[in-house]
Parts: sequence; C-alpha cells; structure tokens
Amino acid sequence: MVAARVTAWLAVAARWYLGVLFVGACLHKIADPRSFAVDVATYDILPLALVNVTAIVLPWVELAAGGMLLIGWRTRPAALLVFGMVLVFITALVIALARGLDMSCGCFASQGAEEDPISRLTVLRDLGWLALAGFVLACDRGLVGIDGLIERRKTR
Amino acid sequence: MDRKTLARTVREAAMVAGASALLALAANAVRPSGLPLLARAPYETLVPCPEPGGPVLGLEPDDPVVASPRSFLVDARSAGEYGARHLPAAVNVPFDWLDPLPEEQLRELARAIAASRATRVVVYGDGGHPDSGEFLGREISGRGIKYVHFVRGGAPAVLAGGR
Amino acid sequence: MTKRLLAALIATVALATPSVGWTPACDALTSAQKRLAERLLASEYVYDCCDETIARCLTARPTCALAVRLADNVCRRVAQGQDEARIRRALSRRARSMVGSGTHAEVDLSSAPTFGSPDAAVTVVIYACARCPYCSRLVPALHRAVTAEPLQGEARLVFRAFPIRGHQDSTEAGLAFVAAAEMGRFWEFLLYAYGHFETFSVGVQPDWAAAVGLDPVAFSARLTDPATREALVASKKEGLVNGVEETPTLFINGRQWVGDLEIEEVINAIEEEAAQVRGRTWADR
Repeated sequence: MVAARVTAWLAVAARWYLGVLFVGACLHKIADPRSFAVDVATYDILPLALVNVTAIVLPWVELAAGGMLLIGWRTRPAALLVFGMVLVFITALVIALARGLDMSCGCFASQGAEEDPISRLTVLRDLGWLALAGFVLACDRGLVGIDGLIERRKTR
Repeated sequence: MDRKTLARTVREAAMVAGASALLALAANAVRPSGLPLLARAPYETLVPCPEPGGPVLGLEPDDPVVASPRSFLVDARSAGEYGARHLPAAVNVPFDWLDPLPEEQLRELARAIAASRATRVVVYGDGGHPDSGEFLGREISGRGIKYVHFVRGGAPAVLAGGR
Repeated sequence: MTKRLLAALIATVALATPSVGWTPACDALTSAQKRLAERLLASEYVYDCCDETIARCLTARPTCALAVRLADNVCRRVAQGQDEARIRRALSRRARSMVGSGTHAEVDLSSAPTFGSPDAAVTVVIYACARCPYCSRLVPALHRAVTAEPLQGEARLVFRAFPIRGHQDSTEAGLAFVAAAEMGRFWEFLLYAYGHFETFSVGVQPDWAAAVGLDPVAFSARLTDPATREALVASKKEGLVNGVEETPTLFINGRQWVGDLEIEEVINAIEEEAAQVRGRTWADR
C-alpha cells in the first residue's frame, strides 16, 4: 500500500518536473521561431522543406504536453508525447555527435548551439528524461491534478 | 497498461499533437514574426569561426601602473627567458601561440590574482610583432580574467631600465 | 504643336518606365521587388568611378561599369528575398572592403602555397583554419572558381594556415596542412581534408596523406617536426599582425574583405577587382 502511495507521489513529482521543463523550454522557441528554425537547420537532418514546419509546430506540442503534465489532465497521452519527443531529440543528438559536430566552437549561427553545446552528457540527460516520461506513462495515478479531481467527483 | 488503454492513449496523444499543430500554424499565420511554411532559401547555419580573446588595454612601459603594487604582473615569455631576468613580483605564464593555456594553469593564475588583492593584471611579453604579452592578455581576458593590460614593447622595454 | 506633343509623350513614357531594368537580374523582378530595388538604387552610392547614387550613375554617360555591377548585385539580392537592412549592410561592407582602410596585409609569399596564374590581376590571400566548417565550404569553392570559370587566369589564391585557438585539434590539423605544403601536395591535401571534414580524426590524417599520393610515414614524421610547428606559428602570427580575428578571412589585393562571405559575393568582388586592375593598367599605357 505504502509502496503504491510513494510511487504515485513520485509520479507526480516526475510529471511536474517534466512539465516545468517542457513549458520552460518551449517559450523562447515560440517567441523567436526564426532563431529556433536556425537551430533545427543546424542539425542538418531534416530536409529544408520540413525545417520551418517543425520549428513552428514542435514548440506548441511541447507547450501542450508540458502544460497537461503540470495540471494533471490526460497525463498518459501527454507523457507519451513527451516520450516520443525526447526519443526524437536523442536520435538527432546521436546523429549530430556521430558526425562530430562540435557546436561549442562558435562556428555556428545557432544561439542554442553556443549556449548549450551538445555532448555525450546531453544524451545521458535526455535518456534520464526518457525514463521519467516512461515512469509517468506507466505509474501515474492522477493523485494531484484535474484527472484526479474528475475521478473523485465521479466516485462521490 | 492493457491494449485498449494503450490504443486510447495513442489516439489521445495524436489528437493533442494535431490540435497543437493547428494552433501553432494559426498563431504563426497571424503574427508578424511568423515563418513561411516552406523556407525560401537554405539557412545559413555556419558562421566564420571567431578567434577567442577578450579586451586588453595597452600601456606604455613607463606608465606608473606597471610598477604599481596594485598590479599583478605576468611574464608571458618562456621559462628560460623568465629565469634569466624578469621584473620582481612577476609571475611566469609562458604563452604558446597555438595551444591555449591549460585549464588548471588558468585556475591557478586566477587564484593567485584573487589572493594578491591586485586591482588589475599587467602582462608583458617579448615585445615582438605580434607581441606575446598582448595576446596572452587577450587570451586570459577572454577566459574570464578582468582588467587585463599589456605593456607595449614587452620585456625589452620594461627591463631596459636595468632594474 | 505635334512636335511638342510628341516630345511630351516621349518624356511621359520615359518617366513612367521604372529606372530598374539595366541588368537581366533587375528585369526579372516582380513589381513589388522592383519597388524595393528602386528604393535601394536611388539611395545607395557607388564608391568608385561615379559620385552619385547607383540609379543616377546608371543613366550617366559613359555608364560606370561598377554601377551596373552593383545594380545587378542589389537586384539579385532582392530576388533572393533578402531584406533591405541586410542588403544595405552588405553594400556598405563591400564598399569598405573595396575602398580599403589604407593598411595593406603583409604576406610571406615564399612559404605560402599558391594556386593560379602568377601574373593574375588579383591575389587573394586566405587565412583559414583546417577545422573550421565555414572554411571547409568556402575554400574549395574558391579553388573551383579559380580552376575553371569564372576566375581562371584572373585570380590566384594564397593560403595561410590560421588555426583557431582552442578549436578541437586545430593545431594538429594545421600542422598537417603545413606538412602537406612542404611535401608538395598542398591543394590536393586541403581539398581532400575539407572534403572529408566530418570524418576527421588526428590519426586519420596520414591516411589522407596517402590518399593524395604522399608517403604516410614521412608525413607523420613531419607532423612532429619542430620546424613544421615553427612554420605554423609563423603563419598564425602573420595573420594576427594583419588583423585576422576569424576564419576564413580574405584579403583581396592586400585589402581585407569584410563583406559577405558567400561564394557568389566573393567571386563578384574578385571580378570587380580584376576589372579595376586591368582598367587601370590599360589607362596607363
């Protein structure tokens, strides 16, 4: 019983962490889509035709997923979205690292590349997020948040 | 999680993603700083690589700041040249034209400067063209040391007084 | 009466026709783009051979060739969708580069690898880092431009290694460039190295040397030779004296180029310089 309770609360913590992370990260991308488009283009993975659409749409999906995790509404789909997005980020990172893209040298127009240069640690960090998202996906019981409220209303 | 829940989760996730995408495209269409859906020209992701370095102030060799007790003196020449003759209280930080100062040496230097309570750093080098003192100054200035100066003419100029 | 009417008619038609249309690039613009181009041409000045705005110089007789070249440049940029601020910046930096600030770059040509006809009108000195991604695109592009059209015979390239401080393996890669130069296969090695930019590692360089026909053992020996390092240091120092602060940095006939580093713009500037030099020489005769 206790274990279940603890897990539930851990899931809430993980939800809030991921929520704050994603909402925080997406704001500057929404504010300055041009700059984010340059960041996306720097990885040189997507064809040029897809760069702008990605730069426009991705931050809003991050906002939605992050927001949903924070308020505890439909956390499972939100966690699934986060899981998917982080998987995509890790893939891009691994490809960039394999190509030996040293972004910290100042030779790139991307602001993000200079301020937060990618490295093996970045991949590890993202794997951690992946695990957290998986954890929320599997173990969230709607303890705190809108889903929980709705559940409790129903059973009253 | 059973199959049905998983399927529902995936469906709902797709709906959220779709709705967000629509919102994103709508927002993009109305705002002035919106992006065209299809980029017209390739993005210039590369820029020329900058040579790192920070600001330094040049001093004349007879400037009183050079001999001031509030100045932390650095000799940028090789250990041999330093050993032969150097300004009293000057610390030797040999400058390499190609390789940057090792992180550990920089930290040591920063510690020494902080401990000495000096208000500025004065570097002198070989006085050559280019001057190793000036460029060591630029390097450490770029790597976080503040108020860095260099002596024009370098060691030949400051040591000329036969001190 | 009819003559006056006719004259008035001609005048009206002449005034109504937009002044833009002196080069094919300007002709191809949409009407919205033409408005921007006209605005720019009417407000930007030509920095040589004519003291007026580009638009005025285009109507002067004889037509200043530079005005035509700049008009073409403006129209091409407008067609590419560049905004006004950017075009003005590019023009101003181009002017600064071509007019020059007075200080000439001092280059030691005895040891620098060159490529192109020795009596070319334009000498282009390139300071580049072997591990600089931008250089890996621009330098081979310049080399191509000098090998065939449009700069063959017009320009010769001079390469000076300028390893960026703190850039991963820039020293080792720079040493390799110097070694390849000393062994006589510089440009082949440079093109190979820049061509395989993303697969670089310090250990793979002797293989690259072998691929361009150099003995990998002798090559590796040179990499650790202090004389090679001295040569690299000399090259870097020379760049620092000449005010190089980033790579690639180009000097066109001794004047630092501070304009756009896109290959089309650079080639255009070199062509302009070549025309200028030849024009001057012709006038001297």
